[in-house]
Amino acid sequence: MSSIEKKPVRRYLLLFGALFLLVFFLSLSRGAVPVDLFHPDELSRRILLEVRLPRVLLAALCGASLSLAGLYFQYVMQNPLADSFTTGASASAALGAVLALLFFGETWVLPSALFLALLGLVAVLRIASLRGRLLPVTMLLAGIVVNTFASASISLLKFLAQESVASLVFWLMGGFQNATYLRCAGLAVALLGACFYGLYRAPALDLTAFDDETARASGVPLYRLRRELLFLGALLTAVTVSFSGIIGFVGLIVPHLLRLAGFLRAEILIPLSLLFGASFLVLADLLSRVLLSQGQELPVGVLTSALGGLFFLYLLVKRRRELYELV
Amino acid sequence: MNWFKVRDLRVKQGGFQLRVPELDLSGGEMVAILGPNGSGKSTLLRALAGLIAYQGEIFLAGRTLPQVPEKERFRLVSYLPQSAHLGLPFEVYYVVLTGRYPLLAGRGYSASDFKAVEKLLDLLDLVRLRLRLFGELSGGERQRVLLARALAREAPVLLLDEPLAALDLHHQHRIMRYLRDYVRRKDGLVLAVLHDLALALKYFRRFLLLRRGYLYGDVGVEELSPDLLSRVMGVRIEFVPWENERLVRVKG
Repeated sequence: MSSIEKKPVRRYLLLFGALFLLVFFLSLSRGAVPVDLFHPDELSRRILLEVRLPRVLLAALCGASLSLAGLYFQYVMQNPLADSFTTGASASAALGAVLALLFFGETWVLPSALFLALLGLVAVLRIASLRGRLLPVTMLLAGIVVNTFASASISLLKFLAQESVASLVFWLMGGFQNATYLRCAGLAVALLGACFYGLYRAPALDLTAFDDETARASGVPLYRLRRELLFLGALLTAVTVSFSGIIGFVGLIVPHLLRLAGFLRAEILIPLSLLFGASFLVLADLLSRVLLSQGQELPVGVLTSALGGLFFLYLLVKRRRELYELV
Repeated sequence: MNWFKVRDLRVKQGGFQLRVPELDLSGGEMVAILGPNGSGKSTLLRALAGLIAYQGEIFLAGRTLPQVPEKERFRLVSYLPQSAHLGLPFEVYYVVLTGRYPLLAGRGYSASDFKAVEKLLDLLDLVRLRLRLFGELSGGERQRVLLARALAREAPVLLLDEPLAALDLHHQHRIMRYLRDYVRRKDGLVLAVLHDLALALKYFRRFLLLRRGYLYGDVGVEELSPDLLSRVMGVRIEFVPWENERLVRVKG
């Protein structure tokens, strides 16, 4: 009994924390201009504090937020394939942001993104649920529906408002070029709130993975819990999309790898998803900055989407049963 | 203890209606619900667990169901649905442990929870499977895990919807003996939907007979005649005395 219950949780937290710090400082020191973190000259110091630090911080916070959002969507949709991207939440949030930018002005970007993200999620839930259950395949299809409509609408808006094309493309292929300390602070507040909400209710979160009857008959306030998790996931998605555009699949890949490694309970999945997700996106951002020569940048969303494609290939080939729920 | 008092219960689900004019279920009882498919057996259990809307009144331990807060209600009542589904991967041990959720006082499970789980893993021969993922198990193994989960709560009232359907004979009898002892020890109540008449006659003393959504009979083991059973089940049934028991035979 003790072998399971006393799994050295603290050791894994330290391990993933160390991994994050390593990636974080590596990412600070590398880029178009290498910076010596220990003996920076005046120019390096300015690059570090004004450009690179906010950027790497935003990447870390986005990685953690997308992973947590993905995890929460997985509890709401009762399957491990849900995340901001596959549920269509990212695309509808991006549509909200673009709409606000074109018609209402920049202050409305975040509320509009949140509103449309929620709208898209409710649509997916409505389309995909059948007698208190959501099948992974129907959820993915409903997600594709929302994704397609939102992306088509963004393309249409881009076509109609030709003068600001460059700024609109940013929403479709995310990146961290627009990082500021203020944005980091905003995202950090949302992330902390959402994370403590989940940690405090960890055993109840796990119960939402059961069918409705079993969960309700365990004394979990299921419908309220689902609504709140859905809202928090949408909030995290909307904030990340408003600040850094669509970055897909992080919330799918990170919890999935952690589950494969044997971390199954919310109590440990939440903190590890934050650390691993942050490391994952900081590393992806670093790669997007150094892969091309002469200081050119790859949009980080392109990198994560490529990884997401590979990941789905792996699921299709190796874990078909899970995908179609034939078990 | 008078666990359930039901008065003028009506449950509508689509075109189907369940009606139970009067029903009292007390401590120390093993009560089986018998009836053909679609006669309202599961609906009755769901209504008693407070999981579906109903008209009329259901009292649980003296209070109407809405008066008992959910967490407290499910400390008293453990409900095992006919089939359960788990959408995310969890190991057997943890699935059983989650049955103790209503008993949680603080934020996490504690030593008494682990102890209860160990006991049931042992009873249901799940010790070997404890680290396996629930999704990887066979149907019979899953049912044993879910039964262990329902029993882990140690609730005085057990509402079990076909708890033994996918189990082998050895486990069926082992569990029935455990339940008989459990009910005595806790002054508890077992209300179970069963299809196996032989098993029902061997272990249960009281029978609720449902037919087309109506409580057709509420009889003790002595009053349960082949004639009555035949009318409810829609097949001709006879009892064959054998040593101290009655065997059930379907004629024709």
